[in-house]
Amino acid sequence: MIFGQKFRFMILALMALVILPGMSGCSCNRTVVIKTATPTVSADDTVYSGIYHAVQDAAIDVVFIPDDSYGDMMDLAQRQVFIDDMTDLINNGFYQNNAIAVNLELFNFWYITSPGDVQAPTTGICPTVTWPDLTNVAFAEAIVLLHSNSLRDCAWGNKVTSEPTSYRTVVHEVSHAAFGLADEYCCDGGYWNNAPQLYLLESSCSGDADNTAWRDCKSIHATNGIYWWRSEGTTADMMSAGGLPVVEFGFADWFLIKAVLTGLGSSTVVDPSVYAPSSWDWPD
Amino acid sequence: MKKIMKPQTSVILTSGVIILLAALGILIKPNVHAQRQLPKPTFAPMGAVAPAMKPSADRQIAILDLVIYSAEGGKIEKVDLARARIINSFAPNVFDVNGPWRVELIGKDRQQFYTMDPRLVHILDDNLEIPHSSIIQTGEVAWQLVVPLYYQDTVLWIETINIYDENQNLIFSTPVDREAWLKASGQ
Repeated sequence: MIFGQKFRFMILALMALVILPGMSGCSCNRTVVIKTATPTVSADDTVYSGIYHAVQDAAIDVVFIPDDSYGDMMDLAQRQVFIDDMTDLINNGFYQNNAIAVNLELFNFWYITSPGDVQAPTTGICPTVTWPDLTNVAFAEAIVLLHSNSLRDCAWGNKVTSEPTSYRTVVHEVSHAAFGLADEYCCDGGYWNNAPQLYLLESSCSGDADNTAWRDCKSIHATNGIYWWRSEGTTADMMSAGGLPVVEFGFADWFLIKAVLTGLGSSTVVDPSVYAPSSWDWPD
Repeated sequence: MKKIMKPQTSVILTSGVIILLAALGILIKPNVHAQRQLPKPTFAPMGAVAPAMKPSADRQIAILDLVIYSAEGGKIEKVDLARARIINSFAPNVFDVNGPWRVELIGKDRQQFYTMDPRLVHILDDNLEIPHSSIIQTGEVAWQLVVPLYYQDTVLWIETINIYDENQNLIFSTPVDREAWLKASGQ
């Protein structure tokens, strides 16, 4: 009988270990407070908070600009169309990325009413863009000019033009600007020595203690002849591949992103529960 | 009379219960892969928007309008300063971001941050398997560089701004003329 009691206790403890984690969900199921009130903090009264969580010094700030085709931004109905597009892009782009979703409190989404203008290119591939005065959004880590006309978009530094449904492209571009992530696809991306994501030397990749958890050094032969070394092998992630299913960051991306988010002064940076190539959807 | 269960029978039954409860645990685990549309933010009418708060006076940035001249092949020939301003503003959070170019801030305090090559243009296409392609613009390229003049809660008294390319070549250097740059901003 004594053996039986001990055994049953062990069984109960084992049951708790098996069942409770299943009931507790994951870190992606945390409560997220969406603040949609008018701004209490902004750089200027031409800048409005779409979704505001923290003062600019303590957040990644993404600013949206309407193309002039959205019409008069003083007209509420016309402005609402722009805001609906912006919201859709946030919902289906940024919020579908697990690393961003579990750290939403560190992201602000702003908009300005001064329009830009995106037109088909007169020369080359990129559109002809007229940007509004961006002085009041100098705090932004990334600026997105939304337009509805269909054309090939481009990104320059922290500025990008985008159609409202280019969900993952915008997240990819914002990741360059806000987190300093290099491209990981072959062969004409923006590459630089960016440990533990990308290396100029194979020996640097294979000898970096920071990437031991996922190390699979594979080369990218750039069009200019230089070989770059990626620590995540051929894994498809937000910085390496397109296609709708790939919306997550890889381990190396997160290493760099975490450093940036931690630098904002937050003590509550949360590790993603899902890494590429797995995908994730905003939970119920 | 109470029937005493044999230990072997007890183990078999308890194991069965464990398997059943484990299966239930899996079944009642929140469905984290289900899709949910977040409630769309609503925005107040323009007339109801409260006047926005300005950053405090110790929050300043320098905005440098630069022009980069590059030869075919990408070699930088020179970088000119077209305009410089100091304004009261929050700064972008640049000090923990990586990039191939380095901006060095020298003075009583010393800081540096990294940035992408501003001549790099990403050509996008959301429908492609490869996200986009990239080119380095040559010839004359305008670049607006925002330089934080504070770090966390400390004002940075910067006297010189240096910029280095990916090969650590010094491609631009300018003294910071606070008086003239503040005047240029009209603040």
